[in-house]
Amino acid sequence: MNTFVLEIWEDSFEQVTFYTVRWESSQESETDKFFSRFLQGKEEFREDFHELVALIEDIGNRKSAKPHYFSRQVATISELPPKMKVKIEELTLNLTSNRLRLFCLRVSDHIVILFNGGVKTSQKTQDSPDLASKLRDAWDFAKVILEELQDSYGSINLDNFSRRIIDDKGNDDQIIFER
Amino acid sequence: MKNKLFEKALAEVPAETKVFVRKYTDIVDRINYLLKQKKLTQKQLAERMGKRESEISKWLKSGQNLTLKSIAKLEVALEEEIISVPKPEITYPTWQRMPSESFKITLKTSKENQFVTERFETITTKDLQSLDPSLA
Repeated sequence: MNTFVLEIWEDSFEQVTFYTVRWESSQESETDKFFSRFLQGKEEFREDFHELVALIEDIGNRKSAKPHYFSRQVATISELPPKMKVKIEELTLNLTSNRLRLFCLRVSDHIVILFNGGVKTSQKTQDSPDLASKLRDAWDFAKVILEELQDSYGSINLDNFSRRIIDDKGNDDQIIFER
Repeated sequence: MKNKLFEKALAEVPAETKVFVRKYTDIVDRINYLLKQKKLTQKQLAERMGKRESEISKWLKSGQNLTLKSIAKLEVALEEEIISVPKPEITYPTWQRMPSESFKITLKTSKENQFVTERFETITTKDLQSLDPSLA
């Protein structure tokens, strides 16, 4: 059984709170791994990375997390009841040939959970060597989180007014899950 | 709570990239708003444009560049403007003969056909005749 933490990644924006996940044994969240990699990364992906950063800021501060900013569905978690079928989506710029993909779970227009991502090198995301395992991880994280969000029997709830995910003890940060 | 890595990354983003991304989200919003307002599906839009639905989907959803030409085609198909450019201010003079030998010149500026400023200058008949001999 692996334990991971759902924690706030960035909540200083006007419209959206971004959460991320971190393995309990790790110092670095999955999203910070993505950012560390491309901040110090090759010049080749610098422009793509800048576009993605600017998009996160625009969504976070100005636009909110409307569905049409997120790319086509990559995987649907079919084991959940129909009303909780939510897609893992890719955050990328659709108007350019941006090669970077950051996986996320758009919980609402004002709460997004970011995972890891990488470089898309093939037509299908799951065929890209750099993305396949990160997509599977994102799917696994999302499945656990969504199972806890369903109905009122789960251990976590959404508070769209404060833009927070809250557990049954009232915590809105550092929520621990086991998968 | 501010994420330090994100703050560092954001500080490195060039100003033109921020402008580009803002224009991008504004355009995507506008297209989606028009599709909803006109109750059009992507399939119906594709039919209007004589394209396959997959082509429209690629335009709107995948990594294919949405060029100015394709935006123009969308504007025709949706019968609405998607992007517009601010019109320049136009300055033009009018003049009227005053009781004395001088003329009052009114300069009006027009911004999008609305008068926003007025300036008055007075010149002599001789000055005006040098500009327009028909006023002699």
